Amino acid sequence: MQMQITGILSLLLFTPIVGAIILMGLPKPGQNRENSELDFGAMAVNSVGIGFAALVLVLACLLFAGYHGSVLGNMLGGVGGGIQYAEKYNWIPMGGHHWLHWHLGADGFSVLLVLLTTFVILLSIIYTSRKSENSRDIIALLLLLEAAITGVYLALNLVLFYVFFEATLIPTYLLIGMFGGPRRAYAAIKFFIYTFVGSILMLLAIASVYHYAGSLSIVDLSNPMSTAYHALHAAPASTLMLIAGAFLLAFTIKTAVFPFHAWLPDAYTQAPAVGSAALVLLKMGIFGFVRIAIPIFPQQCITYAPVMIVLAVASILYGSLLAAAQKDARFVIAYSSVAHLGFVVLGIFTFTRVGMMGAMLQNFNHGIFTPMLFLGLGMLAERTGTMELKELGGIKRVLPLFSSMMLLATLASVAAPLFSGFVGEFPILLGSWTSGITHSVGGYWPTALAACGTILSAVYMLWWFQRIMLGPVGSPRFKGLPDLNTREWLVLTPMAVMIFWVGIGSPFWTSRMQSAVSNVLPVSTENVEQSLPVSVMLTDMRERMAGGLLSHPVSGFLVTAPDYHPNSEGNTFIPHAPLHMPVPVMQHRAIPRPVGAPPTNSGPPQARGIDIPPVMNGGTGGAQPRNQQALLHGAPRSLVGRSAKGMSTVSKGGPKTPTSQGVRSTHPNKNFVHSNQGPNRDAVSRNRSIPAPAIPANPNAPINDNKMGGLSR
Amino acid sequence: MVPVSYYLSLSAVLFTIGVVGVLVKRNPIQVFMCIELMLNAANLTFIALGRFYGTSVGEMYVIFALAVAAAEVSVGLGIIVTIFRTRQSIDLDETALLKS
Amino acid sequence: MTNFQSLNAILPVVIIAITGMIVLLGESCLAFWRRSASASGVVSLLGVIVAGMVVLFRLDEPMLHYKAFNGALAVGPFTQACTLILLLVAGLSVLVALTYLDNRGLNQGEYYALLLFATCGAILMCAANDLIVLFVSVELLSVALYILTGFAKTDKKGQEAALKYFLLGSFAAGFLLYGIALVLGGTSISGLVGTTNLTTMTARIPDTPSFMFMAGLALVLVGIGFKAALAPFHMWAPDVYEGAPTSVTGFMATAVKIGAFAALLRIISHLTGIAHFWLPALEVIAVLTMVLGNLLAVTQVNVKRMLAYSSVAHAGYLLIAVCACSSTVARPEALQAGLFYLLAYGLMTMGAFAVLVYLSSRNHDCETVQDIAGLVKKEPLAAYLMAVFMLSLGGIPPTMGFVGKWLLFSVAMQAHLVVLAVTLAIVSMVAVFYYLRIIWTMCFQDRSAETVGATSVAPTGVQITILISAAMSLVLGVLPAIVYPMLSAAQTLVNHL
Repeated sequence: MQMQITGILSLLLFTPIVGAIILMGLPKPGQNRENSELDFGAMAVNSVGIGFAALVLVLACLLFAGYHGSVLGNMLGGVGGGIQYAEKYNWIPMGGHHWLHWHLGADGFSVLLVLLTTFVILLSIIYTSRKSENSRDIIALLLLLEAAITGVYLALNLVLFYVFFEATLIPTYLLIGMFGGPRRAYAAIKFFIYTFVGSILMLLAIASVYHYAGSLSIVDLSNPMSTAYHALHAAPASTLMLIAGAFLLAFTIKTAVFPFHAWLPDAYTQAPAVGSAALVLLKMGIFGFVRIAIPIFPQQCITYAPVMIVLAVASILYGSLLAAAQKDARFVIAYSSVAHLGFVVLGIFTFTRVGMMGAMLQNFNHGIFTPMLFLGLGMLAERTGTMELKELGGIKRVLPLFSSMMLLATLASVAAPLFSGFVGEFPILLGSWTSGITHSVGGYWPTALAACGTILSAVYMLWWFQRIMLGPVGSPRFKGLPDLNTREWLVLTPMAVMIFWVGIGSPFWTSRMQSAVSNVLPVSTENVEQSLPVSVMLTDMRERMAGGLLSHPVSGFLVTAPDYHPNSEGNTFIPHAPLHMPVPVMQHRAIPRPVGAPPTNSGPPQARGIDIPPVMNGGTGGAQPRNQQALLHGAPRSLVGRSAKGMSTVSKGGPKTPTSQGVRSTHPNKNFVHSNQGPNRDAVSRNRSIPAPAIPANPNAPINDNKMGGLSR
Repeated sequence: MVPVSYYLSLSAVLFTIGVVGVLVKRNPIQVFMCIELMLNAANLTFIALGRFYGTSVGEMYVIFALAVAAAEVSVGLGIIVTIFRTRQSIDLDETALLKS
Repeated sequence: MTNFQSLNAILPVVIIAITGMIVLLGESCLAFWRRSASASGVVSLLGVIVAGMVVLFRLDEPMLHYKAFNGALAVGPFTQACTLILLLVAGLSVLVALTYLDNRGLNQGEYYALLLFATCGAILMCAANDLIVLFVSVELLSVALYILTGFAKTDKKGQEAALKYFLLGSFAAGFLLYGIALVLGGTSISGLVGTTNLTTMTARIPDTPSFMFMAGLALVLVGIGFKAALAPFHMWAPDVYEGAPTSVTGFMATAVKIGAFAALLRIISHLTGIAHFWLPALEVIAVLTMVLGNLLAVTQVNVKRMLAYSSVAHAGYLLIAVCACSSTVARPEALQAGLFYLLAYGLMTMGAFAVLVYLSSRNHDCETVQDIAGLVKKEPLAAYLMAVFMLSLGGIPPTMGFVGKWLLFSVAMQAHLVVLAVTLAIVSMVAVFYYLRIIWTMCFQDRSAETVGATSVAPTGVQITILISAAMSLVLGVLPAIVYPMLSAAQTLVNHL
């Protein structure tokens, strides 16, 4: 479904603001009204609030549906390749006829996170719309927060990004400080100052970037072939490390990674229930890593990556251990958030596509089950009036439906298969396992410790669930508590549906992020440890697909199309290239290499990155060119069949060929083919007994059939 | 001819005396007199320079400065009188209601 | 230009001065005027509005690109832009005073007359192309303000503030005058008498100017630095701001700084040839001002005093824009950043003081933190708008204070003033603490017995001021392009217009 609404991004941003302004004009909902009287004030507030939030959610769904990350777009390096719905206007005059631009654009990551934000905010507003005298102010603040967070995900100009990044602080500060728990003022100021310190350093870094590069456009700065990128990276190396360090510090503080996590427990627990849900949406730190830090400063981030991995693993373990030791139910979830975000950061800084895709998906998941847990705890607090674990107990007997919903969220947090947490955590662990950076940090230890974190999450979450829901009923006054009412069902059910939807049908959600992942991690920066058998297996998979198998049915978990963004010397970054490729075990399978495939599997395998065989059930996502549908059915047989036809494979591609030809001719890196005809070529030929093709098909033609049905293995 | 440097050094000395006086004196009238001393040192410099180069430019500046100083005197003395009316003392060290 | 043309060129100033005189005479001579509570205020507001219209309608007149009065006044686009800002600030002050004076029982026409004369002085400071004109206009501004500070004759704190301001202000005026005298001596070349005209001076300064000239320049900077409350000449600011009536403080904090920094920008842009002399000194002063202003504000419990120290800090930020004029590459951006920050600072400070005026009543001036505790329950709009002003002062998006701060950061980096940029970042972290504390007190704390409510006297004027300031804070934060024509006027200063 192609849908183009021009200006949809600005509409997404300004609708909640307009809603908030209208809401503040309405009178406060009456307090202590009798049940028989219709509270028109409350009805007006609720309908305006829910109406605007629903409208924004619809817009976000339209954006999500209309976004098509095409792999062909990868021709433009950096973030710009995946941007759609861009808008650009003059905004701040900077003197000398330079302008700061109001530049918005949606990326694969953006559309997912915008959808998440609008979804959770709508559910939070529905939750707030029960009888509450402060609901007007809370809903207005939530709408403003939604606008600011959405702006962060859509901004393509560094200053605009910063504006929205900071603008999220104000509604959060007011939410916590005005409507929170007993220590709310302290928690609010701590949260504000902690994150502000990092951000002001980021502002300084942005000014430095402007000074060196002359441009603040994220699209330009992340494109390795733009003048801004070259100008920026011509700065002295130590300055670049400082600037990148400032960005990373700001995002690290925002994400509450281990040493800088102190603001998170207080802020999460002192906030009202919807405030905690809203705080979970503060994923701007994670987004900043993948949108700004890694695309603009790839080499510096690779240098910092070992540090980040250590911090991430420390977060996981620290968060998990502390979560297990807490006595207050909300603190357990707050520390579990630290642990989950540690996983996400780990996945990002492994610099593998598996890891990054898993990280972004786990990011999304965390944004669903943690608000579900917090809102559930809010419902529980309203009924029982306490959040102490020793006072709670046996809620399952009193509120069976409620505890079932909480069980769903708990299992998602624990990363049980079929639930969403699993499809996020497993690829992270796999990425961490195969990443060269994790290996340089401590061999297999980071991954092992992170996996222990998964076990620990089971420990603390299941124990939490047990202490609250199972066992003897905590207090006699719990006996007659009402179970979930309609409003609460409306809040919890969509989140439960999402947990299963992501857990079972994740390609629907990851399909849009694929081009974004490949933009952030072009082949030149991906870093996969080559000595592992699994990497070899993945490499082999990749080469077979690269060998001109146009309809290779690899399911849509990862981008399988090779792409490359050469650095300035024209060759690709090869971290651990072995001189001689070890003979892959898989070569001796029955499936012969198709004729016409150039012997590229001897070249540096890292150059094409790594993909894993479809772990998930292959789904489809996005639009598929019709001509490929016909080639899909009965995939293995067609593979064999086509290979038997020899040379005609290449030319036969049907309507596909002109595309690949066209792609090849415009490809910037024509010499790549030649670089593979190195000393290893003979080894391959010997092993495979395939005559060298006269016309080598471009092994690196982007195959945009990465959403085909899964290869059944 | 008296060299202009004599005049300039005289005015520098007067200026310094005025500055020190402002910093040391406790009676606001005396402080103000020292301020007037500073202003007049500047006037002397103007005149000397104008005379040295044979123009009447210096005197022009002095007219400006004198007029402004006169306005300032009237205002300043008015403020001092007001304080004296309510307090019966104008010792500067006693005006300590405003503390950082 | 003939004399008449020159007078025509400074028509806004003439209009304001005449309005001031009309108010003065009308109040004393006409009985009905004396009886009416707001006649003076309304007439002065009308005068300000007429002057503003004159400026707006004459923005493109070619006559204005020449210097008036034989080169003594520059009335080009930069001056027109500063005039507009000053007229805006003056208009807002008049609106605020319409409410405040009745509260304190000070409703006398002389207040408005003095306010208008002070505005004339500030506008002439922006236009001054000759140092002696600068001196006269500084004195005009200052003398009017000495009287205004001590306007509440029976208030002991006010009297003390007036005395302090007067003594220290005259002290600085002495420095300024002597500095001008030394400059006159130092710019003489080959038998020609020296000059204090900035345009002529630029041509006459050699690469290594004489000691007399440097001494004179230093003293001039001391004099201006006092007016702008730069460290280490800022000692008077907290006491005077606290002791003066709040509406006067609002005017002082804004108009004086705008005039002083406009004059400083003009002088510095003429002296860029010898930047290696004054740049280190100004950098040190800037760092000192920023650090002292912010650190000392943290411990204040009196809101007016805290705002005084914050004004000192903002003067330090503005000095970054002045320092950045030293670099040829960054000069247009620096001038633009400076002008935008002047506008932003003027509006947000005026707004903050206006809220304090709004909350002052007949018996009780709203001053301390206890006075505003838990305000959000009683006066939510005032509390939220004060929050907007605090956020704008702290430089938090999406307000115009942030846009100004961003412009300062980018200009500092472009001019390679890394120390200043880093200092700005660090003190911003400190600053946000005390600005947030105001929001904390207003919104998060419970009402105490001393919390004030809105003033009982007709608050229309001050409400309008608060609304205008808050609206512009938010609108200019989101769409700074609205004032772009004005900002591009700042760049004309590069050509010494």
